[in-house]
Amino acid sequence: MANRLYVFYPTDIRPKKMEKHISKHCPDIKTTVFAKYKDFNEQSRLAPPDAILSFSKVIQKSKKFSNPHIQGFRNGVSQEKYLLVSVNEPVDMKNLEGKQIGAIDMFGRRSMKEYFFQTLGAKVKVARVTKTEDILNLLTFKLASAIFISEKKYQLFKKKSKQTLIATDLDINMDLVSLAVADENSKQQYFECVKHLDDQTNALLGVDSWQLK
Amino acid sequence: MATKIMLKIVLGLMLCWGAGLAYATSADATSKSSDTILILRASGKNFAETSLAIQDDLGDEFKFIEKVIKTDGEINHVEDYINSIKPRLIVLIGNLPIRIYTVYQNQNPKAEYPPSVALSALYVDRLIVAIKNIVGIRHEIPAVTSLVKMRELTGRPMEKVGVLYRSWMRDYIKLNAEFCQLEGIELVGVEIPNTLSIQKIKYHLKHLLNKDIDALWVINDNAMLSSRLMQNVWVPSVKQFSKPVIVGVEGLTATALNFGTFSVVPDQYALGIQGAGLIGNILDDKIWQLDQKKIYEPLSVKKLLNLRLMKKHNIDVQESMLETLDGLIE
Repeated sequence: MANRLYVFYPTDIRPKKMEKHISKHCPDIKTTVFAKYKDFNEQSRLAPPDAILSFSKVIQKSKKFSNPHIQGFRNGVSQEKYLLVSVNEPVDMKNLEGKQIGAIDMFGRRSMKEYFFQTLGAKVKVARVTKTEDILNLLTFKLASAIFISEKKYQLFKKKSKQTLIATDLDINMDLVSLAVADENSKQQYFECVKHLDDQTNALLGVDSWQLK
Repeated sequence: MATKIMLKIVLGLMLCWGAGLAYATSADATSKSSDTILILRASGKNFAETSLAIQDDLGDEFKFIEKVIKTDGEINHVEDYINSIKPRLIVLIGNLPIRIYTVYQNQNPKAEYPPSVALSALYVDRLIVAIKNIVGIRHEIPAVTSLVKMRELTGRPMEKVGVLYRSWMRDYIKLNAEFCQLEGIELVGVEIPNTLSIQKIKYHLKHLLNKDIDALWVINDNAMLSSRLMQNVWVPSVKQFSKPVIVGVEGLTATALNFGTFSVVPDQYALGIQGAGLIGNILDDKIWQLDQKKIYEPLSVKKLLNLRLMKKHNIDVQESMLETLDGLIE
């Protein structure tokens, strides 16, 4: 039976299309891409995967997996900066309590609230979206005071939107997409897989190269 | 062929949002819990998907009882559910449960109403006017969402966009114009009377299409998009219009119809997740009395592009953007 790779990493394209991209370069691995954390989590419980491609924080929360074995890189670095982005004015960091913060749903409702409490030191409300393309709508429709996005995404949104988007630096860096295997002996197989991903697929995952950890 | 498609579309619109109801139970109506959420939803795949998303998202934290309303006149059942379940919050999905709940409140003016959330109903702000302690998420996709997506697809400027609307939609168009302005898009609206006539629509649409607009946004209005008006006015009028025609019903992009180039419709599951966020916040903060009848805009959409029609009108599409679509007619 082919090794099972579960991917939970929201991008701008639909899961089935991402599945096709990855499978093209990793024919010996059965790849399943999830759009929602809940589905990923549920399926991981019912039919545990042999490897996970996701945010390192999601990997760390998954049973059978602890730390990533393969790390994605972009321009030679393995992490990216995260910011709070708002419209017209920067975020008042001293006044975050009770504010609505928009984010891609990485771990479900409760865990996202806890994550932001730990990260921002304030009890905020979290407006979650499952597709990356929806997050800017939170600002357009004033459904969030700010959105939590990577610096790369911020630069992209500044190009595509005519709203005056202002970034507030958080001094938070998160790992780029990572891969973890359940059985260490199989990490070379997965490394061969991601190493052969084409530029387009890598770009969708926000990286340009991969390294064994 | 085109007439058949138009009929299907209009029927589809009516079936999705129209009336008709009986009821069915999917859980034990006698269950009681201080954190029970009662979902009253209309029958149909889309409504079921929205309900499922809410339960998927909040099922670990709260208990749900879902009732499917299928025919009119089920007010007594709804009253029984509310009295026996004593829900902490009520979710109303679809026009029909909202109408029935309005009747329930009218018939029980002294009852205490738990907070409620209305979803998947057309022009929900008009529907919930008489309901106390309620908020909702609009089902109509704001113009700015569709237009920004079209701007990304074509890489072309989107500065002026035309829309024909009836008088009763004036406030909604005003709101949309404000959102569009944030993205540097001017919504050029032409208002027509609520009472429709082929001549009037034909005249105003022709006038609108002759203005220097970058796209036409066709608003969801069953009466304006009747098969008669589609056949006699809309389709022939846009024939020579070589800019994108953006619609809110997938069927209107059918090639045989030769009409819509891009349809943007609600993502029903994502709508449920958005609703779950609202519900979660109400219950977390124990807001048993909602102070205002707030209507939120929907965040997530599904997009279908008729590439064949785009090519026919010589509108280029950025190849890399095609993968962001949910459907493509080639």
